[in-house]
Amino acid sequence: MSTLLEVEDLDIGFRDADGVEVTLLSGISLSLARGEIIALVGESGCGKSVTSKAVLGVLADNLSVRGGAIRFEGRDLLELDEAAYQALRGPAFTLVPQHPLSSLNPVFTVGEQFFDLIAFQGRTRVGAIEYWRPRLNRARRHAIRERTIEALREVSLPSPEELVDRYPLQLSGGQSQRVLIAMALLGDPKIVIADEPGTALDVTIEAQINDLLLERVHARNTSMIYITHDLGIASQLADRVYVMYAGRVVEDGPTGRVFAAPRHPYTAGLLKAVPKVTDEPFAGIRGTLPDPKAVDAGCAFRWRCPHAVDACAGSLPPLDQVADDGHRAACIRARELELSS
Amino acid sequence: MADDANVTIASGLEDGPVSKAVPTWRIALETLRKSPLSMIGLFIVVAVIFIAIFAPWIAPFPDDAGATVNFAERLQPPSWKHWFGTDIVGRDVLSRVMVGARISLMIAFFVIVLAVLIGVPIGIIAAYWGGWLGNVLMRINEVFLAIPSLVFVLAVAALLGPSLPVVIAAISLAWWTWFARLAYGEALHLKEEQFVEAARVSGASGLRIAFGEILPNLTSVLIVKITLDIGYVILLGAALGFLGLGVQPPDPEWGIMVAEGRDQLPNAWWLTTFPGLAIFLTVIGFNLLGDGLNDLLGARQ
Repeated sequence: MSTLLEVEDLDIGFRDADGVEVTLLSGISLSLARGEIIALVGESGCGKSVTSKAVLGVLADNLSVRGGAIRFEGRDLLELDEAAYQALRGPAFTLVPQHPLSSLNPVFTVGEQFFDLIAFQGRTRVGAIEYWRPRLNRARRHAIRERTIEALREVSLPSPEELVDRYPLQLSGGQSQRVLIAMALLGDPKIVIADEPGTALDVTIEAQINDLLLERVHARNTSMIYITHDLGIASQLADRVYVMYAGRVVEDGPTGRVFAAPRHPYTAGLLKAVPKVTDEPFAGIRGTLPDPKAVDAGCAFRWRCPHAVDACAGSLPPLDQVADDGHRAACIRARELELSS
Repeated sequence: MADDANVTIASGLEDGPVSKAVPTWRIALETLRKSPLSMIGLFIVVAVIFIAIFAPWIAPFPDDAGATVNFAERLQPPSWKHWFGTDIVGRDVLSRVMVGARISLMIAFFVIVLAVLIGVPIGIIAAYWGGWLGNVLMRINEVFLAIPSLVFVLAVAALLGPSLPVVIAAISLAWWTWFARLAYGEALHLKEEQFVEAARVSGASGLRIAFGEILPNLTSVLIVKITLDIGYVILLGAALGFLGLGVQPPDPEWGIMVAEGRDQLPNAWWLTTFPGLAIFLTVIGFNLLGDGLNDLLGARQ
């Protein structure tokens, strides 16, 4: 499989109100092959969404990339100007957002939301006259409407002919998310980034949405970066998984391998925190994420780690190979610990 | 048919078909009807606009709007022939008030159109792009905002000489700042909305987002602001006319009419009372309607 997207040693941070440099992501490296699905997992605030926004080039204004590279088909995206980046959003990569209900513009019908995407996606500097041309052309309007209905049908929305004329507030969360998936897939993107697409939905709908995403992505051999804090979903969907903690990747490898035999205490802790029907008392991970302003030289997880030793405070453990199938973990005790999942 | 049931679930029919929507304007009218004050406002506004449009045809003495004289009937009190009496040269006050509605509404219309066309894009651009551009635009805006609008308009009118186009230009120049501020504030929070980010990641340009995604969301606040402001602009236009720096005689502008009748108080009270009442009712009407629209559109957000 050829590599489609490669994130290498990405560092992202911001300067806070007191002028102190705060690091949010450090040394993030990911690779995504054509048709592959990777999952970024970790608890809230560990940098999953920031990573995806960096790839999409829509970081918040106060965040800056301090170093590293994001290569898409060999081109470094960080060196592109905004217009060139804009042309890639849609045809190259798109986002299925986390909050379906607020991700559609409330004043436009579903059909109107699709209009510009079908007419202009992937193009930059569309002039005012050109912008109005398809709107004034009856045949073109009709063709765009037909294309919209077809796109809605592809994501199994019922009666798409009626749905095109509805406003977002007339849709349920599940319907909105299907509409957004249809919009994301419209430009036939090479990479779909799904940022916890089911979090705002109830579990049965979430399962349907994930099935739909998986089916559409497989049908077109599209690659996907799936962001979630739900390890169950990650294990079902992803070929490979990246476990993130406090702005770093602490463990990565083939999904089955990582979940069956985790080598980092954080991954093991997350797996234990998945509720199961057993007699055992529920085990979570004690404590919370460290303040990104208060990181020191040592392992960021040692405060919460049940296996921490004095040496953990000494230096940051590198992400080392723990098996020859690409399974890596960033823990100095990765090889000696007996971790159960 | 067990198979069909499964197919239905799998095809995403989670919550059944949505019922046929009632047209938005009917919901709006029903809501408005529940508030008597808004209905009074709506009635006054519709009546004023109707009179303004058809004044030359429905006024009893349409020729009296201009510089005619009829000394035989000067300073007549209200009667069946002249409901609002006649002025110092014998012109019918009712006719002049009716034609005066045209001038006041015309000033308000052009001022609001200009103020919206200048103010709203500036506010949105300042909010969406921010940075030094936003700072420069909003500081300019604040400079205009710092000068009381009446003083500003008086200065411009005195400088350029009083006439209808100058009045319209001067008030617009004082008024765009309010629309810029409103659009700025709204756009500032709208640009953080998820749908703006969704548009961005699907390849929309800054201009497309600012004017294709954010601007349409301003419609309801703009409608309310425009309705309320029409009243205030009419008031300002009348004040200018009263001070002699607005529209010039013999045009039957309400402010001028009040000013002209001032010398005849208290004997010929009808000369000032009826134009004054016209100003009062029109401003009140637009305000009541604006408040009603505010409740109506605000509650739906």
